[in-house]
Amino acid sequence: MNLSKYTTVFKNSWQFNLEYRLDTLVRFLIALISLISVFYLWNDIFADKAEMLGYSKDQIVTYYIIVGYLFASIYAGLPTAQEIQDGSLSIYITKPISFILYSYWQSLAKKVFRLIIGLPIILFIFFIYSDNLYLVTDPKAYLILIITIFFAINILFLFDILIGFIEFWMMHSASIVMITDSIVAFFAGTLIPIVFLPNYIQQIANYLPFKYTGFFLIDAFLGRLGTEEIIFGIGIQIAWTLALMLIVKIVWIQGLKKYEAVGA
Amino acid sequence: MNHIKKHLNLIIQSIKIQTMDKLEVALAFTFITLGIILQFTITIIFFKAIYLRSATIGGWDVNQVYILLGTYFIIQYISWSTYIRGFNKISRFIENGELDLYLSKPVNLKFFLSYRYIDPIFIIPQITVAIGLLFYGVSQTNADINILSYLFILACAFIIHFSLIVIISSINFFTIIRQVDHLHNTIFKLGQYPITIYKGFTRLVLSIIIPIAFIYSVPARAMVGDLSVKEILATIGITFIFYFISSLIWNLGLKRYESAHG
Repeated sequence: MNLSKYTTVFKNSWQFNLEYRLDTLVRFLIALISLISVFYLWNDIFADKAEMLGYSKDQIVTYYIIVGYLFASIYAGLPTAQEIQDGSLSIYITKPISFILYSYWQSLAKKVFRLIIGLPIILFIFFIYSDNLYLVTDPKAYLILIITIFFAINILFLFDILIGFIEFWMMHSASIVMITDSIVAFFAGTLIPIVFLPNYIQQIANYLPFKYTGFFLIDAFLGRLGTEEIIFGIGIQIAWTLALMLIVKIVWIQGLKKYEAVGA
Repeated sequence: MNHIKKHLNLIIQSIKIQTMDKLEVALAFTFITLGIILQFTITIIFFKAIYLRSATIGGWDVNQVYILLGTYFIIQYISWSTYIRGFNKISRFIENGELDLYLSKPVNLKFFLSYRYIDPIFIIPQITVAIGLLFYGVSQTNADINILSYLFILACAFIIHFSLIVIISSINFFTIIRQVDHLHNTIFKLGQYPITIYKGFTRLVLSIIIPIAFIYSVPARAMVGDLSVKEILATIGITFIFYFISSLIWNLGLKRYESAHG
């Protein structure tokens, strides 16, 4: 694989995101506004409690800040369905380039850019509200966070492109995104940490990859998981990445046959 | 009279166009409906999970919160099926010059935008689940229900909501914001919770400057007959003030746009 052409894709996408940095900042502003209700809601719930399911109030608020930051950064929709629908996919398949890798590097640039742009905002929040937040001091936790973010990015990318491939068989598949977005965000624990949900929902979450793109990362970062649980979690992330890679590959081959058959 | 007739005719035409459009994408309709039901279900699961750990939120029990959420969804769904869509498009209209076309027409632009993208189909499942939740909350509460008071305050809430959308959209006349829909959606989402959870300055802001309290919490309290005459008068006052401010900002923005694009 010639990596240089994909690093060019990465650079171009980075440049594009740099030009639209105001949009990224507005995205974080929106995430910050959501935190207002989170802060007051949990303040109210914790009014007469020191901890809940092992979380202190500071940990819960920190959880929401990090999950909000992560999801605003790494969950970025791909234009795959649109590219299939309007035929612009043909541009990629006639070039000596892998469409999947092209999309991967393009979205990777966007996600890394967002992670970097959002970081000073997060640091600022921690600086201002340090008394109400849980400061993680273990350097290992930061290393684990970076590793788990990397795999979360891969899982979300593969899932995203898979959903985009539905367009090969069904027009207007973009409407499915509304469903998948809700499922991903919910089971990733962006609305509420998974352990607060009823048992049967926690069981469902265990069989889906999304828990390992949000909830698991933050629980590991906050020091709520032991070493074995973290290694097991990363193992699950790798397993999901490999499984999704395989599914994406199969669906891509089948979809492309259908795409070429209709003469697009 | 002719003025009303003209607008009525335009409303009917808008409904016809949108209906035809939606019927053509029946499958998309099914998925979007499922998506709405899913989002709705997730919100309920979230609050159920919260109430598993806490008997009240901001002093509100779960049934009062169902009434609040029912109100929230009614306002959200009706506004998204009517006026929000048009106002969300302002940035695009300004960028591609389409706004000039609308301005050259002999109709009131603000009124025209509020029904141009009216959606009579998608609203059916949406409003059904929202009203269902409202009445579920009403049926479970022991409080004395006051539907008339609720409907009156809800009407005021819609006017305040509409005014805020107009104010936020008017920013586009001064500087283009592409994610304006996400921005106001997030701001209004703060109203999903009882206003009593917010304290100090935040509560003041959400009661007076961006009066989300009067859009969601106050109608929900009106339903359970919990509003004093003073609060009803305050709601009426806020409604008038915000409608006036929104008209002022809208006209100011339009003037600025027209003078800049002469």
